[in-house]
Amino acid sequence: MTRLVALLIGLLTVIPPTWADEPQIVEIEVTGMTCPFCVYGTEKKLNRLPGVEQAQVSLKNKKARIVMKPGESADLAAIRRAIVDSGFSPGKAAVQPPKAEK
Amino acid sequence: MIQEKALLAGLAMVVLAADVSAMGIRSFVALPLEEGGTVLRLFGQRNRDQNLNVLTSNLAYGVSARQTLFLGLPYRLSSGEGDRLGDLSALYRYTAWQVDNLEGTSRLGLLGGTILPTDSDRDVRLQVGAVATFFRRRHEWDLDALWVEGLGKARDRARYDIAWQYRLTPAEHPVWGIGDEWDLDLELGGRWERGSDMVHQATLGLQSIHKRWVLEGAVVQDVNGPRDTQYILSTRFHF
Repeated sequence: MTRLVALLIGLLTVIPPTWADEPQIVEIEVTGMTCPFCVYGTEKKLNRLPGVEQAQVSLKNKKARIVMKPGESADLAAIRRAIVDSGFSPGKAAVQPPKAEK
Repeated sequence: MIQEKALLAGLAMVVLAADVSAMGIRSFVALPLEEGGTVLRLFGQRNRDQNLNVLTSNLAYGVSARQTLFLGLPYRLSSGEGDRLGDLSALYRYTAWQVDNLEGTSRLGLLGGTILPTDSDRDVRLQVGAVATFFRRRHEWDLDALWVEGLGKARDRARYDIAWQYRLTPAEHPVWGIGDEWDLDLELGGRWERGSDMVHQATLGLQSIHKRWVLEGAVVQDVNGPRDTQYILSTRFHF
């Protein structure tokens, strides 16, 4: 029994919990878009950023949702720049889970 | 009569050559093209009254979010006098002012460029103008004006366009992703060349807008002057 408990404790310390692998997700306000062409151009720019798994844009809610690859951290400055390069204006951003303090 | 037709054909070619990435069918627009983005447009116009068919190939390239380059080259499909290949229009747009908000966008762009003859018998023209766009919810208004200064033997020209587009469907876009939409397009435009009266034209059109392409058709009716009726069929692809 003691061995089993020790083994479980050992496994837990070696294998990180699953939530540690959850990808970081950024939701950011994007204003100025008017039509599917605008959405396409913005998604194209965001999807080309390093570390991005998938970027989607909501014309209805004027938002972009950027899912990062596991282990990759979002570069908010690069995301904002990509939105500006698409011809639109970035606004408030929320990162889930929040970036760890360095 | 033949000279008048040739004049109108030439005017139509130059005017059409300037249209590229507008969301209005005939007007310029200040809506952006992303940096590095390209739009290819094939624009066919039939003038039933003059039996004139013109296909214009246009290319728009986003130099940056605020700077766009437009190229246009018309080709006359129908038989007639003069060269089939029209002159190359090169136009640069700089978005000088832009205010975005949750309701839409307001933009003002400045236009400048040239029309380069593809035949040594014709002279260069210079073009300068402005374009404004206002977008709110389901409505878009585009206004543009262009002065074309003829050098040498080339005559001066001018044009204006006022366009209103209304999104028919969907009433609301999907929460995520890119949905298709249908827009109604109403326009009033004017075309002028030195020595002639301004011809005002009303346009009624329909646009089917998708993620990477647009298909649009319209009827253009002269309000004064020759009173011609023209038909437009156009498609654009976004790369």
